Amino acid sequence: MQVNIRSGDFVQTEMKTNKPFLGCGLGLRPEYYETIVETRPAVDWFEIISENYMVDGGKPLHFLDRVRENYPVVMHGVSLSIGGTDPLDQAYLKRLKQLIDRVEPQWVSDHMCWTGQGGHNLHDLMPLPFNQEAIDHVVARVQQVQDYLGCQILLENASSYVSYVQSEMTEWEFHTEIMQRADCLMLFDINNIYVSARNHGFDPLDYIRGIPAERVWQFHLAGHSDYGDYVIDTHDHPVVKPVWELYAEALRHFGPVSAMIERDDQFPPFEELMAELDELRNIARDVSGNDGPENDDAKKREAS
Amino acid sequence: MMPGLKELQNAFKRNVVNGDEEFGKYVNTAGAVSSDVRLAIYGNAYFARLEEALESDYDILKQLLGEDVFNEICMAYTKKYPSHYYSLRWFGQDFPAFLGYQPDSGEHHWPAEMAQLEWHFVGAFDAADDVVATEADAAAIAPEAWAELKIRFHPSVRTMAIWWNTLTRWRTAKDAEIVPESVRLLEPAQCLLWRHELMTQYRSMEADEAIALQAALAGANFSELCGALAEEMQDQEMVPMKAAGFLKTWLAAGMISELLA
Repeated sequence: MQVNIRSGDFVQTEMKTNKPFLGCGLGLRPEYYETIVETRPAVDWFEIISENYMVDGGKPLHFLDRVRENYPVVMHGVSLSIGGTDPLDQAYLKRLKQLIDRVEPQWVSDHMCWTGQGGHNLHDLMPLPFNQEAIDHVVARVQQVQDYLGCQILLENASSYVSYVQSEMTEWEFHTEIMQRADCLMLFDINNIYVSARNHGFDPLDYIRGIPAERVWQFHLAGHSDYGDYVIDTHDHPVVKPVWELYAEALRHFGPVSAMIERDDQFPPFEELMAELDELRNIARDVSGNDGPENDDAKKREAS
Repeated sequence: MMPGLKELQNAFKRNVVNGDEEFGKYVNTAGAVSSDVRLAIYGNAYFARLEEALESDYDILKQLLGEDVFNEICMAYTKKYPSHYYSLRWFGQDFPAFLGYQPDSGEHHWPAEMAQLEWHFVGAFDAADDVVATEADAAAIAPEAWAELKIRFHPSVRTMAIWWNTLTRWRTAKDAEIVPESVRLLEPAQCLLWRHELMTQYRSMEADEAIALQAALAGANFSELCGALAEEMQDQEMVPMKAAGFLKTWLAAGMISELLA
């Protein structure tokens, strides 16, 4: 039986979770395969886009296996459609589970969104209305997915450009209630919060303060395209100063959280990404006094 | 009555795909940016993402057709073949057929054939991994077992008939050389694609090799392969040697996973 509780009724309880801390990572992209495998850079961990490795063989899986031999890897999907109203795609879930078995990731994530309707995939992260109907719907599906995969999943806040007249609460209240009821976790995308805050006119600090710290297992940072009146989440620029500042605020609120930089277009030389990673580490060290896992394999690699 | 989640998603989808305006009334309009501009971000991103997937699979075709024509074709394809796949990897699979590719008759224009060639490259690129047999494996086969020998090819091996100078045009475009005009060949040729040590490979085949390969791919044993070759060759005494030569070539190229003696 499901109990409907208004989001404001929640009391943040102490969760006895053992939140892993991986340190500072990067998204694994084909443009950097050779560099990463040949030079073994001092990156604490990598995130993969799960769908890019749902293939039978060849280069993608070859390089994934080589990277996995030397680094922790987390899996990040874009096609779960947890908020979709079509039935969950069993073929997709099966393939996802096969990849989990191969990669043995630290965790698996996707987005709080829907990606298609009536069998037609839009291949985009479409926003949900923030209301009870959507909460009940998503909670039930998260539970199904977690039961099937046998693990908790992380859901990322997607950036958005429209809001629904049907919404009854803030995005952070919506996300929190789903996490509490479905017992899932959060991939907290700091750039997306900046983008959505600009597009919808809310204070990003309210978002940060509205999310229970124990649920946040990962941060994303990325660049975006700024059109003045609105901002689009494009992952094709370096991280901007206001997003670095929000990252520092998030660290103050959440404590040490595994963080990474996403880059999906206009790929710079790898050294430039490493310089951004240094910035990520510096802020983590300055704010939370912790920029890497205790058993820091990356530092050993650097020393050797 | 307010629409439920399913109706909202359906209306939003129709707005993204064909600009249906119903969804506009469910969008908050406060702020400096109009709901039309906000919704256009999704509509533009939808087509851009699908076109990008097609560009990635069919980059030489785009280069040869030019951006405007390719863009127009992509728009029409996207409308006719909406994606039903969880991964964009498969979105472009109907593109050759959409362009009119006729694998049996060859009654298609060059863009369809170029698309089919490029789709085969996509398939060879991430086909299943498998072991690769060597000449040592062939040497270990007892002489009396050769007649019944069957060949299991690497999963990346693909063949296609070529009616146009598509291979030459693909290669010259890829190497940034001067691309010849499209011309129809006097006789259709055969093209072979596969992956070896992570790299996709391609080459054209003479008619006799194509006959031998097609027979082996269809499950013929070595004796049957020789039989198929004998129908093509004048000098019957040379048939076993010719077949053995093809086998040696395929082994050296990494096209064979297992010799089933």
